Amino acid sequence: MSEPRATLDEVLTARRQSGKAIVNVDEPTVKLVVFEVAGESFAFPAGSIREILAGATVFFVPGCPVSLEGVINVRGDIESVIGLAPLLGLPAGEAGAGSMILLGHDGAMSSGIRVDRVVDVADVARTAIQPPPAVLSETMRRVALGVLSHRARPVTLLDLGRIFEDYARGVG
Amino acid sequence: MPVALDDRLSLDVVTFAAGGHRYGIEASRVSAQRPAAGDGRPLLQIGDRLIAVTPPVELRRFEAAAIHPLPPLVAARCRLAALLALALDGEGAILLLDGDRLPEGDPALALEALA
Repeated sequence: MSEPRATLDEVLTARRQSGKAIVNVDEPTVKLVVFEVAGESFAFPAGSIREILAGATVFFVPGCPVSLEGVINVRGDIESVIGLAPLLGLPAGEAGAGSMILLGHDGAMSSGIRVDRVVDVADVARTAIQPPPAVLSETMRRVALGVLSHRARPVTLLDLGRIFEDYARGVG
Repeated sequence: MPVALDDRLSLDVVTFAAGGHRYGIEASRVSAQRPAAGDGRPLLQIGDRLIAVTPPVELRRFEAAAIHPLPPLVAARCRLAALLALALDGEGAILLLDGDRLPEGDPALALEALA
């Protein structure tokens, strides 16, 4: 029995589609920025992240907590840069070579947020996001909007507005 | 609609150092620079107060576009109560201070302790 023959176009199309997850196009999705801090995966809704910056020079401001690295100049505007680890109750590490700054905003509040690595900017089905489980720490539960699995890893979806609010009140 | 910044606006600032950082006070608030005290540091007269600072003490003019309000989280968390704004130049940030809110005693020492 002869093997089925295909054109090169058909083969390439099949190859491109083979690795893709099946997405129900009618299902509402949300775009997320997925990143890592202290070896754990987190995400913000992409709508709350204005930019992802690499290699920005941070100017130290004395008198601020260690978690507030300083300020950056973003095309003539000044933004603070905070580290997420203390707010999430995680060990703070040195900013490595792959670290980046997410420029986040929520209402009138905005700030840069230092993350160890940006993993992905992905469209995720809303139904894939589950409520925060009870096993999350109290610190994490306060700022978690939900949890999901991305690339076979658990990801905690964070509430940027709550993070800014807590940070301004002195948490972290 | 945002109001365009008048590019003719500028601010004269007396800049100085303390604790390895650069600070500035609006020049109109500084009435005099007095000779160095016993420890060799120059003194700035602000109202009826004398503030010991670390050289170089310079009078500089900043365009309005180079002067920035404090980002909200810096305003909320910075322990330097006199900090009003930031100015940026090619070397980094200059912390603009409210002369009236500098700590009593030797403000330069207090700034160094915070730095």
